[in-house]
Amino acid sequence: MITLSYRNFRLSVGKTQILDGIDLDVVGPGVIALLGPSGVGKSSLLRATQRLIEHGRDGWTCSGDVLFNGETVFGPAFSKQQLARRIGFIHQKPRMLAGSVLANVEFALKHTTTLKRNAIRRLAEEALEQVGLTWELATLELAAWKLSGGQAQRLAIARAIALQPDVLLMDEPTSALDPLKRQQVEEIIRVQASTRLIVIVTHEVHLAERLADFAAFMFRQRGGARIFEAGPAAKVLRDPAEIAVQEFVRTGRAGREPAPASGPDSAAADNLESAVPGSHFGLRLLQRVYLFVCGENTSRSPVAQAICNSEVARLLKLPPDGGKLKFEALSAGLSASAGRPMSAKAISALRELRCAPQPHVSRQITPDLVDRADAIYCMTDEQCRDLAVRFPAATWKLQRLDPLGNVEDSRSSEPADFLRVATRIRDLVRWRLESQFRFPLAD
Amino acid sequence: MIKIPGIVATLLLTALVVWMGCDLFYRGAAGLHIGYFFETPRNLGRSGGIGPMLANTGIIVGLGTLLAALVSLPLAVAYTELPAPRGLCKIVRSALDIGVGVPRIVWGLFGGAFFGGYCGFGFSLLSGILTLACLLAPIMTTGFIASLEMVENDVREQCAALGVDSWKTAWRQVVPLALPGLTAPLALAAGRGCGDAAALLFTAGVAMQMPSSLFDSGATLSVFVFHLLATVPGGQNAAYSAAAILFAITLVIQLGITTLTREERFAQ
Repeated sequence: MITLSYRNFRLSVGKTQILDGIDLDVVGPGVIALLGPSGVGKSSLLRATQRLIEHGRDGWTCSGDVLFNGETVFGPAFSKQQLARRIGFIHQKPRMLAGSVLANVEFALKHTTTLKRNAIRRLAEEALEQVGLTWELATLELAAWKLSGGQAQRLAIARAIALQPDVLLMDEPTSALDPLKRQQVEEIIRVQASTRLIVIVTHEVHLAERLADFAAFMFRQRGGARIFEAGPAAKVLRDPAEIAVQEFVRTGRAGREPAPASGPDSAAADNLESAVPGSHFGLRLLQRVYLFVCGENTSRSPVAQAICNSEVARLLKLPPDGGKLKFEALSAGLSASAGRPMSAKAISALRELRCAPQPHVSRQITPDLVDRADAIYCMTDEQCRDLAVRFPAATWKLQRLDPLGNVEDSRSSEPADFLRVATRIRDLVRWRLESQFRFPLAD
Repeated sequence: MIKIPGIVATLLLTALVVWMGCDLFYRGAAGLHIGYFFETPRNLGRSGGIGPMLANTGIIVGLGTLLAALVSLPLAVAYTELPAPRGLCKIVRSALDIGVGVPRIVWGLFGGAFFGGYCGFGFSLLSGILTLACLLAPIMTTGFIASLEMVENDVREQCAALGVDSWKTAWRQVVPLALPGLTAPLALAAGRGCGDAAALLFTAGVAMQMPSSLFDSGATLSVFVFHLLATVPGGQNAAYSAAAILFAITLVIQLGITTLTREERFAQ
């Protein structure tokens, strides 16, 4: 268990009081969202936690205490180096350090630990693997300043997690990214949250809804900012007690109804349905081409394609052949023999899921298809790598369908076995669509 | 409106420099020949070559600039990167400003008295090198500080967040990032060193011979030009030839470093 506690923590710069007695206890692993209007002092709180703001420097004064696992972070127990190894900090705008991608991650390990060169290399490569840069980049010796915004943000995350901290403090980690990149970063946060306590500072209610287990709201009063309300995210975001928080959540949702308090799957789908029809958010989704990729293009990817098409049609209440719109779900195989029909188990699984199987013949992936796609989802990590090698230019839109694991084909040709795979694909596709629907609010 | 005076001023300045260069070469051309760069001067410098002076200039300016850079860079890094009480910063800053403002002839007198007299180096290349380093260090430090301060603070903060201390951050991250900016003060200092006569007249001396060690006296090219004009009757033509070469050397240093800097910036 990881704990982070603030005890009557006050912060001021010059004569301006920024924080006025913050009292908060958070427990990990999990994601904690720290919400509040811009400029309220959320980032300052995070920066003070990692001692980037220090008492007596540049006019800052702090009082009160911050406890990490029961020990004060300001005491002699933590040098700055030790603190950085326990509590990582990721800036809103990542700044690349000099040298290659690998050198960026190795830099802190080299200068703050006594590890051997091999161990440092291994830790750095592991961290880069975890953020998906290993297979996305042709070489880790690439100069870091050549990375795109999303890649840079992920590199910054890799730099922090290479030190293996228990806590990760993230200052608006996705605010500067486009929706696809944002989704990638969110996936990483989700995965990291299984072992770490992640504190995200954000003013986006939807980000908190998607990621957070616990949410805390900060608002400014005359004497500085305070925590107005804190608690489990499901409760605080759905049913806030404080008026200021209610208002913030309501405007954050831009007038949309909050998701009903049922199971996560149905909640996602229902919420989608209420959001899409007639709204311009839906139209943005329609201008996308999704490409699902598996090995043979006879079972998994055609199922994903059919489900994606039918989900969108259902959400928009369109007839199944909604081809007039600019939305398309496609599928292809990496080692497909052209012209084979969909497998029997796939057809039966689709029927079972009440999704009409579309006519399908397998096809091999082509540069043309890759070019057309806005997002490409592979079933396994191996396929991602393979595709990245074959089409290096498309790596930026390439993702594994399930960020947490591979979607393997069923071993037998039993329909019941494959049904489990198909159900998982359906849930994943729904979740992908759901996160696509929500992003335009933040634009 | 501002455009026209701007263009006129630029053209005038460029024309002035070009005219000066042409004039120097036109008047000095008579004395220039292939052996000019290697021969020793004859007849008090009125004829012969400038071989020893070129060697002296190279040694004094090269080592003087190097020495000044070795002192200035750590000082500039410490000034910008390390936490220090504000009072100390102010004292360092004013010391640097005074150092930049002190006339070069004063540095020359100080160097002659201190290195030449007190330290016992006499009129020698070593006295010249040390005096030049003293003169250049404040200029260089001020320039280095300016370019280090140009580096975004984000770099420092992101390294601090990773637990890397400020000294390592400075040397591994900030200095490499500031490198294009750091070469400009270096070029400025080298150019000044080449052209400076006042500080070297009383320290390195006016001997027109090839030095055999750092303790030998030796005139640099600019001291030689000054010497010809001030003390050698009929030395004017030879002075023009030497000045033309001095002009060319300064130009090459400036252009060379500007080109290097530009490539660096492009790579960023």
